[in-house]
Amino acid sequence: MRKISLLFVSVCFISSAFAQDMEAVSDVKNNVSETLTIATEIVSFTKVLTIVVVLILVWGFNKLLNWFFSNLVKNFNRYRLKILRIQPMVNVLIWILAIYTLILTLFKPSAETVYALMGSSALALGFAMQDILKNVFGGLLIIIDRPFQIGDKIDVSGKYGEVVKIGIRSTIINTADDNLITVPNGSIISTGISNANSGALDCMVVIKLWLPINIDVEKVRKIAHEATITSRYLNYDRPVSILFFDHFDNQSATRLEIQAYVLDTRYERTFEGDVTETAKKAFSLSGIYTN
Amino acid sequence: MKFKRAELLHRAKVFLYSLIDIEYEEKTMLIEEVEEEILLPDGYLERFSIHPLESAAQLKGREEALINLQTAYDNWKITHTPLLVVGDIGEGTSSLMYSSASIYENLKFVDSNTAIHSEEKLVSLLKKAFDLDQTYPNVNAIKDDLLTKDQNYVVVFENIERMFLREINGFRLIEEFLLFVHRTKLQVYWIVTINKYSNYYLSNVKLFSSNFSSTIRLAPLANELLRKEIIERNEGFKLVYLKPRKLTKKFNKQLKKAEKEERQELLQAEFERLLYLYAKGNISRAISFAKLSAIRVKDDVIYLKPYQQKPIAHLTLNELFLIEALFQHSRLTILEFNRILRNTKRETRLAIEKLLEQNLINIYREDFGRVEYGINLVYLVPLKQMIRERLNRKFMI
Repeated sequence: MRKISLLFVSVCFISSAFAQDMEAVSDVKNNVSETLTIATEIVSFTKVLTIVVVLILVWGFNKLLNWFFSNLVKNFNRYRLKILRIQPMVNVLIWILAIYTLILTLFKPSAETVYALMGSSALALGFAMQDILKNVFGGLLIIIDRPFQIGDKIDVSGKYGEVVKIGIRSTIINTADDNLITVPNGSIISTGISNANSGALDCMVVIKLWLPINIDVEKVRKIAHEATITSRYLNYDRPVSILFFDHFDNQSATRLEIQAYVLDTRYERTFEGDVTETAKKAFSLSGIYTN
Repeated sequence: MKFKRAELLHRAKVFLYSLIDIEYEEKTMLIEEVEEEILLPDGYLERFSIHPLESAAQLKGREEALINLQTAYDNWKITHTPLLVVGDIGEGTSSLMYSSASIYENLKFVDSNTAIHSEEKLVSLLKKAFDLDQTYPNVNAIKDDLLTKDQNYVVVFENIERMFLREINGFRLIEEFLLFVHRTKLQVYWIVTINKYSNYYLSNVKLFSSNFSSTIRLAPLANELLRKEIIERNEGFKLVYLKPRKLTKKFNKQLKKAEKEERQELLQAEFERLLYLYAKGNISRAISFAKLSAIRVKDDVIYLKPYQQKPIAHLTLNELFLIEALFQHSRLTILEFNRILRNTKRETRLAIEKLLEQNLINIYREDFGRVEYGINLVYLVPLKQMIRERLNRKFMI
């Protein structure tokens, strides 16, 4: 009798435990299916396809705009730098607008979700992508603050060249020897930048020539001035300055500095070469070097 | 039509390839058909010859400039300041000067239509202007002689841009001349004329215009005057206006709806609109427009099809600088081009051949065998726009 009752109790216990297990399994099953439903609702095939299509369209639209800008630049060379100034701003704005609209229309997040997401992602991203974010914010600062723009001749940490692209993460500079240098935006905003033309087409070119110490200054000044004003690359609307400096380091010499503006920053080196060549020929002819 | 379709297809291809950053360059084998040159009777073409006027009665639309010339002369009698007249090619600067002769007593002209690159040439021109018989070694000697004379002169020195060459020591003569002007201004009323672009250049690099406290800039002529000039040049002929080569759909519809007489009125209005647009107040350009628009002469009827300028093909930087040098000096020889642009003879020759082929410049053969090149008046405005646009020159067109 005792054995029977024991058996009965154990059967009851096992069956109740089994029933509990069954309940848990079905709960898990329900939870999984619910999660899957929510997940498929959030990341459905239609939504993924929509995102892909929108991103391709935005990319295409940006490309179209860039093509439009490059044509504008070709036709209105005088306003080249003003046009190029707008290009990165428009590109970034279009991307921001597209992503913002996608999130709002596809996921319809509540305000709480947005705040929570922003808080947690800021924390996570802050640690994981510190450098990238620094560069991205640097890029935004460059676009908003505009210490330089596409087409400007800038010097960042000893790298001098023409800005050819301002990206979200980095800026590309084309140096005089035709090398493309990618400078992270973060490092640009943390160091000093020297800008030779600040959005203008022309920029000042300083041409240095070394001459004997006992030169006829008046004669040299006249030749240097005429070598500059007769150069085809000179910007006629800006003044020309001629300066003399004496040097007594290893060997005494006079440094002649011609400060003039080139008509377009693209011809900076050509202008320098043209004036140097003409002035040197004229100095030779007038016997300046043999003084 | 075939050309247009192929061109569109080519453009679409280039566009699509550029979207995905692929460089696409296909050498097209299409050759555009060239229209045959229209031959008109010499008698008719002679009506459109451009030459300076010689009397104030013939001069139109320059009443204000004549008043200014009179005022400037009256001022000189008190202040002794020389006058600078700035005008563009074909705007009628010479006509204005010749027509103003009645304002002055004893007016002398220095004809500097040829280049003056030596002091001897300048001395001979000045000797001629002041009726001097002696031999002078330099300009200073003329000045000394003039200062001993008790006589006043009025001298018009035209096209002063021909007195310098954009090279080292190329400004010496013009500077010498300006000094001469200042030293003789008490006795001589100097009127110096210069073209717009040379004035822009010289004033920026050599402060040229600051030597003249009075300046007259020729304003564009009124459209009505241009219209009258064209009518006058075609006097005795009946004008039949034809459809322009390019028409807007709206205008085409209007033409289709209109009766024969109304149709002619519409076409005449369109002709005049295109004339004003092309001439931009320049009388010589207006005359050349009318000449280029005449496509047929039959008895006493002239058929006018508004001239439409072909866009200028892409010019290289060297070619543009060559054009700019012509704007600065009006006319140049190959040797002078080489000296200015620091080019080799072959480089210049090739560039000139290309510009001649495109009809952008003209050849001028002087009596003594000198061959010079100058801007073709027909392309004056688009070339100036091109220089302004591509060479970043901030001058008023």
